[in-house]
Amino acid sequence: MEEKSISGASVIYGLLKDNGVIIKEKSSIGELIGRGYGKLYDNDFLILNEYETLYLVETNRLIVKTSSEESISFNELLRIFQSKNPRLWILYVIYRDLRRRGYVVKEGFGNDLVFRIYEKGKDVESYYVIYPFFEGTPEKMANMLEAARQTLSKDKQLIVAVVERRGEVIYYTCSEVDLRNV
Amino acid sequence: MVIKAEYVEGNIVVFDRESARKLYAAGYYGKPLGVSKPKDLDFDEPLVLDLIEALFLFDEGELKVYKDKKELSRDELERLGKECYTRFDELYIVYRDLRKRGFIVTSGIKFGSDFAVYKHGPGIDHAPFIVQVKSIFDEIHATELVRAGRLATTVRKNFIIAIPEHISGKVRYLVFSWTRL
Repeated sequence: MEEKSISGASVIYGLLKDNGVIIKEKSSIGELIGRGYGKLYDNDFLILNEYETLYLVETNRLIVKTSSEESISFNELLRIFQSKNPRLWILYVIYRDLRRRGYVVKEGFGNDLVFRIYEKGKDVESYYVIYPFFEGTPEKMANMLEAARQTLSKDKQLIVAVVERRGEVIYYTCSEVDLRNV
Repeated sequence: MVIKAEYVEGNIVVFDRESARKLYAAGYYGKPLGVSKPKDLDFDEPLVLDLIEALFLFDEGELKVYKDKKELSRDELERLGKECYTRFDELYIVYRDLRKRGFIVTSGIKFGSDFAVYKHGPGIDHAPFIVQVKSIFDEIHATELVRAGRLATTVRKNFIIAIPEHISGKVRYLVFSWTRL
């Protein structure tokens, strides 16, 4: 029997594995792809990453189970994912904020450029790349310059996402310029 | 004609009225003593330059600086600059680069930054852009970025971090703008 989430959408079931959460049900796969979640493998199953999983669980659209059919709560998932990624929570705060602003959020490029985003419905090459910057943890200028260079070389716009101590996210565009057009 | 100035306790002062007016008119170099916003060029006050401006004008062959009636060499002027300001080398590289690109560069202290930079000059441009100098080895704190970004947004201008390369003398500029996304 199909369950409904609070928002009225169908609840999707996923299986927790080492490399993410696997979705096998065809209609669920179609729905998730349509909303910009997950990676499709062999046209057969979809894998959600940890940020996608947490967001879908938090918004009551996904129930994650273990191989022994036990449901795993948001808090448990958070703890499991955090054991592999010490920056998980703070990056999830950014992921969640971007999703709530209506962006589709995909994995970025390497350690500093954590996400790339594009607007919902515009499933085209993403334009913005997100560089996380946490209050309390200074950033090296050299890293920021390198991020700006890399983003420019990919013909994208760098966005610095400053996360303040209580989780509010403030965004700045950052570009290397030659000052001709300032 | 090379303008003559005196070194006075960390400042470089042009006492000759005509020279002072000429230098100020040439690119808003210095500031008439005690005049916050000079309305025109008819000021009578001595012109006060900082050591960064003075070294640039010296390098351009526009200025000679005297201390105790003795003309200072470039090395002496630079040494005084390093004594008076931390990060003198970095500030100078950026100042020179901006001036060579044709910008008017003044102190950014009122904006809490190193330089305020104009295309045409204070009072002519609507607002300057705000430049903070950082070494490639420096770190930046989130609060610095937010504070500068907030200020730049208030004056409707971009906040720029200038990162000089010591060996090449090149400067890289990162511009930050607050965005709603």
